[in-house]
Amino acid sequence: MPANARAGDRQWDWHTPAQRRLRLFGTLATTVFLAWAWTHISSRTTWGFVRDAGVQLQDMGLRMFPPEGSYLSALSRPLVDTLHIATLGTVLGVLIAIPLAFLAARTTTPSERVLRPLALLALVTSRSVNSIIWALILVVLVGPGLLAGILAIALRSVGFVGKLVYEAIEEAPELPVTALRTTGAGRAQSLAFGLVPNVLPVMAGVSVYRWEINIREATILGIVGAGGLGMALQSSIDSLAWSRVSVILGVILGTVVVAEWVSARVRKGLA
Amino acid sequence: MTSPEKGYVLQVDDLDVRYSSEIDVLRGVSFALQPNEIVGLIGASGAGKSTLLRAIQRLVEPSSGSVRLGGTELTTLGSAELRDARRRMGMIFQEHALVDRLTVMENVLCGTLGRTGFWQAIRRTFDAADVTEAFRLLDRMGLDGYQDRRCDELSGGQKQRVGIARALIQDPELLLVDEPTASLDPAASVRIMTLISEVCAENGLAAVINLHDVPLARRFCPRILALHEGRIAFDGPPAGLTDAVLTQVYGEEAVEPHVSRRSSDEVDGAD
Repeated sequence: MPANARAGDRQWDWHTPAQRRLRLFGTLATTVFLAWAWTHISSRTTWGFVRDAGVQLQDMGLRMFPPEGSYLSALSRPLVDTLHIATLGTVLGVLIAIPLAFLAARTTTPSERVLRPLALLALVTSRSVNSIIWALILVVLVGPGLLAGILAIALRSVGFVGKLVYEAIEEAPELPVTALRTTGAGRAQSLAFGLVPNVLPVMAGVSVYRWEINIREATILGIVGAGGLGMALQSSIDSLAWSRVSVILGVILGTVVVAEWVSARVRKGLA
Repeated sequence: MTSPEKGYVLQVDDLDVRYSSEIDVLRGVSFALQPNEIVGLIGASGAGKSTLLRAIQRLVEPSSGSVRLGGTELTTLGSAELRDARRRMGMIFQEHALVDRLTVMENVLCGTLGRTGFWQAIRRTFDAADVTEAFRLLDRMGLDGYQDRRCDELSGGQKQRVGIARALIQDPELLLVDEPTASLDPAASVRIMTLISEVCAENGLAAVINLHDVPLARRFCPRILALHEGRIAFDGPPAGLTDAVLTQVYGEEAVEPHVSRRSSDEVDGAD
């Protein structure tokens, strides 16, 4: 129903007739596409397996239960490794990301033609490869273990932190920087005093948020041999030790909940 | 072109600023300032008032003409000498241009960055004499006891006082003041203008004060410079600002008998 309002001889319409036709066409096209997509998915699904899913779930649940409580003590080492991978990886990533962010931000880059595109390319490359893929590559390069995990987390974090920080730099007010330049301050001084204080909360907030994400990612990196809880998870699944799998999943859940709580508290305090 | 003469604090000769080849923002602007002389710069929005102040500081590069500070020609200076010259001109901004997340004291001491080393400033080990002077200026600004407050906690008038203290700690020969009252209410505007006139008198400073408020300019500036479309349309004492001059500068609406010279609001309407 077209929204419109009449006031005397003047009428106001929310949408023009052309917009109305376009919206009607869009609605029909979306409906047809969804119907087609459903039949396509349906024809490629083995419905027998799906109908069986409830039984399978029950079966797996029974094999996971009761969890093997005594296995918990064997997990303390992988858990600490996971926290180390996430934390050291985040620190390393942030240390690389912040200089890149200053090179990438239009307002602070020393060279818009050369350094800015290179910095942006580095940030995009880092983001476009998932941590687990970085870990696969690094396990080959530096061998399995913690170092591969730390580097994988760092390489993935660079793009995330760098992108958000460089956007914050570009959006920070320019006037304080200009004002400091009029006092005779040099470029580095003007940025250190006129800009950095204004983006510091973003730098800290983004870093803590990335640390929280990295805790989650570090729990699975071990699947490709990069250390931590994921290694224990992989060997338990391989040996069909489902009562251990449930213990590991519980530990991961607890760790992630704690990390999210810490992250939320810290970011709230940064405002 | 007048020849360089001793005794002037600031001498602007035939100054042109062109943002692109088509638009001239300033055309052939010439004026000179004696020590202690306070000039009110008026004109409609877009007449070139802010550009003139920015061109004197070389935040905007003049396309031709000359700007001399004392005996120094500014338009040809290299970057290191320009920094030295900028230290001699204190600039006060419309939106305060403070660094909101730094304290009052840090903002004032930012005025000394031109003569303070980078790491010295980063570690906040400013010269004792500068800190003493900052305390004296805060007392003078009526901000006694505010040194550790963060600037985003201050009112508009208080922020503007911090901005004045930051300009004064440079120990300048000249103040360039860009719309100091634009974000203040009428009473606070008068207080800030009184303060600026007083500190100019106390320190023997010359000032160019860009004002959109003609009554304030009349009241506080013994000499008025009016810009119209980038040219100087009037240069003289406030008594010479006749209706005919104001019509030329702002257009007819600004000088209807019942709105002229009464309050700032009506003059705003001409913008």
